[in-house]
Amino acid sequence: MKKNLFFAAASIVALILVTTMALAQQPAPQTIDQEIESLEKRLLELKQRKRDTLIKQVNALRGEVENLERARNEPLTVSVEQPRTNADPGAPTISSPPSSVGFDATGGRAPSAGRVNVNPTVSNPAIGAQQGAGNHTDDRCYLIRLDPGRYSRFDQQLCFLARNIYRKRITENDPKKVIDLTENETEILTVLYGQIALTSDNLARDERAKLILDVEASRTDKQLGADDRSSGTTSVAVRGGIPTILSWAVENGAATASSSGSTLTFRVNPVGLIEALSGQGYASSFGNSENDWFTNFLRRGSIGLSFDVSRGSDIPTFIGSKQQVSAISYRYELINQRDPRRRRYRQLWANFLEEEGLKLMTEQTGQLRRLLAPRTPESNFAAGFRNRALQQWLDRTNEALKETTVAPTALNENAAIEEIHMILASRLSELPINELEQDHDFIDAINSFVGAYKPYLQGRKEILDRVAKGALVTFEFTNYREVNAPDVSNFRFIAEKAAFGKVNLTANASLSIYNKLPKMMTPGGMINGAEIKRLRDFSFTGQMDVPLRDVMGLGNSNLSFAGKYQRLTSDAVALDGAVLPNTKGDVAVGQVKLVIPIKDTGFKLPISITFANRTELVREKEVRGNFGVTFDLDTLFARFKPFK
Amino acid sequence: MEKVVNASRVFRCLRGEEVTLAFTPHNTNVGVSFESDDESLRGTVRDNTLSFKVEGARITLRFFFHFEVDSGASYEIMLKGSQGGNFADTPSVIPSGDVPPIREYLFIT
Repeated sequence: MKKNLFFAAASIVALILVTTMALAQQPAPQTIDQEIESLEKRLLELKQRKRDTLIKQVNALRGEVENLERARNEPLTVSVEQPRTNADPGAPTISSPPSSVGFDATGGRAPSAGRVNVNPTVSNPAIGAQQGAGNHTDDRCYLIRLDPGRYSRFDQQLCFLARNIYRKRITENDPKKVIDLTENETEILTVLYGQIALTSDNLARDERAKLILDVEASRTDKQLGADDRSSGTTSVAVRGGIPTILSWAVENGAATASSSGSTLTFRVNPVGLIEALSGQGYASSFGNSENDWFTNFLRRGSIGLSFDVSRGSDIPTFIGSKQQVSAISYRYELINQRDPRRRRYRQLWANFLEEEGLKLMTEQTGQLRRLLAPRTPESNFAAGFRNRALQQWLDRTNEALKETTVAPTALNENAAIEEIHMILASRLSELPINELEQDHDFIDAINSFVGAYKPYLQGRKEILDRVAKGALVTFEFTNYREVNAPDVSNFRFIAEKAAFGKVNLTANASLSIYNKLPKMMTPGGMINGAEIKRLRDFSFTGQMDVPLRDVMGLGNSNLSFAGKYQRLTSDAVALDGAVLPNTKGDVAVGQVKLVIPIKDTGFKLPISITFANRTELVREKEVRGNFGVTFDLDTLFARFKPFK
Repeated sequence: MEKVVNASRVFRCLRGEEVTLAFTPHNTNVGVSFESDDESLRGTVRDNTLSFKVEGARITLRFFFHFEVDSGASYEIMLKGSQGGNFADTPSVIPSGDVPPIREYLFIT
C-alpha cells in the first residue's frame, strides 16, 4: 500500500517535471491554449511511460512480498531467553498502537513499539514481534522515518538502529551485520534506557525518561494549498515558504471567491525535483546549491499549477485537462532566514559545539567507560558491555538478527529495515531488566549517559527556535485562467516573521490586472454602462498563526486568524464574462482557521470559518465554512532518500 | 597502519606513527568532537581533519557527530596512517534524530 502510494507520488512528481519543463520550452508567441495543448500531449506520453515502469516495479515488489511471506512462514529455531512479558503473560497478543509513548489515562505509560509482548512459544523472533504487537503493521519504522518528530526518541532510536544495521549491511554487502557497539552506541543505549524506564517506576518519573519517552514536533511555514483567489481555497493569507520538491493540496469550499468549487494545486521546486530524480537526494542537493550561486538562485523559485476540478465535469474530478488549469504561478524566495544550514547561523553552531557539544561528549565518554568492557586481544578487541546479562542479551539479539530473511538491497529497503526493527522490538521484551536494575553502576551510568542529552538538546533547540523566527520574504506572480471571463495576472509580496513565542505573522500585499480588458471581448468598452479598468484590484492581508499543543495525539495543530482588505477598482466580471453592476468597492474578510495534521501520513486537514462584508460578485454579507486536505511530499522525500 | 582482521574499527599502527582522520561533511557545518579514553586527546575537529601520533600501547578514540538538521546530512570518514594504509570507514555517519551519533576507534601498536 505504502509502496503504491510512493509510486503514485513518484508519478505525480514526474508529471510535474514534464509540465514545468514543457512550460520552460514553450516559444514566446504561443498562446496559453497552445501551451496547454502541448503540455497535455507531453503529459500523456509521460503517463504511458510511467505506467509501463510502474507495472514492472509492482511486479518486482509482488515477488519480493511473496518471498518475504514465504520466509516468515518457515519456522526458525532461535531460542528465547527468559521470556519476560510486560503485562499479562497469558495474553498472546497485545496491541501496540503506532502512536508514540505517552501517558495513558491511568497514569501509566501507553504501550510502545519497544514494549512488545512476545508469546513465549514463538521461536522466530520476527514472527514473535509481529504477533506480539497485535495490530503492529510492518511499516512502523517507515512511518517513524517519514516524520520522526511525531515519535518519542525511544521509538526513533529503535528505528534508527534498524536503519543503521541495514545501511551497514548494504554498504559492506554483508547480510549478517548486526549491532556494533563501535557505531551504534547512541541508538542502543537510548533504547535500553527507554525500555528500562518503561518498566521501572523509579525511572519512569524521571525527567530523563520524559526526554526519551515523550514526543515533540512541528513546522508550519509552507503554503501548500491554493491562494485566496482560487476556487475552493481555505486560505485568506498566503504563506511564504516553498517546498523543496513538491506539494499538492486539494481543498473544498470557498473563502473570498463567490463561487464554490474544488482546486487541486501542485507546486514544484524544479531544481529540487531534477536533483531528486537524478539521485542526488534532499541532502546533497542543498549542500551543492549553497556553494553554487546559480543553482542557489534557481532553487529559490517554484512553479505552481492549480486545477479547478469542477470544470468540465458534473462531479468534481481531476482529469488534468487544459480547461481545468485555473492558475499558473511562479514564486521566488527573496529572503529565507529559516534554514538552520544557512551561513548566517554558522557561528551559533560553532559556539554550540564548543560548549554543549564538548560537555555532552565528556559526560557520555565517561559513562561509556563504565558501561563498556575493555577491548582485549583475547576477544579480538570486540566491543561489549560490562554487565554480563546485558552482553548475553546482546549476543542473542545479534544471533536473532543474523536470521533475517529479507535481502538488504535498495529495492527491499523498507522491508529489510522493518524486519530488523521487528526483531529488535521483540528482543527488547526479553531484556533482563531485573538483573540490570540490580547493577547500580550500570543504572547510574546509563542514567548519566542519557541525562547528558538534556542541556545539549536545550542548546540545540534555542538555536533552532531562533532560526524559526527568521524572516521570510517571497514574491509571487500568478496567471489566473478563467473559462469565459478575461484572464487575470496577480503580483504579490509575502512577508513572514515570528513575533513572540511561536506565533508567526504573515503579511501580503498584492495587485491584479486584467490580461485583456473585458471591453476587448465585447466591443464598445462599456458593458451595461460599466467601465472596466485594467487594474482589477489591490489588497492587503494580515495573518497570525498560533501553533497548538498536541492534545489529541494527532500532532501539533495550527490555529490562525486572518484579515483582508481588498479594493475592486471597477465592477466585477463574473465567470461567464458578464459584468456585474454596482460591485465596485471594498471587500473586507476575516477568517479563523484550524489545521489538523493526520498523524503518520503527511496529510493535514484545514478547517476554516470566513466572514465577509460582501464577496467580489455579490454585495451581501457572507459567512462560510470550509474544509480541505493538504499533503507535503517534502516530509516523505526527506526520509525516502536522505543522503547521497 | 593496518586494519585488524575481523575486528570492528581496530587499527594496528607502528609506534610513533601519525594517524590522520579526514571528515567530509555533506549538508552540515556543525562539526565533529572527539575524546580519547585517557583524555589526552579532546576537542573539536578543525578543518575537518584530525592528526595524532600513536605513542603508547593503545588509544581508544570516540567521535561525536553533530548536525543542524535531523535528517538529510552525513559525514564521510577516511583514515590514513603516515606509514601507509588508507581506509574509508563505511557507512557514512548520518543523523540519529537530534542526538549525536558516536563512532569509536581503537589504535594499537
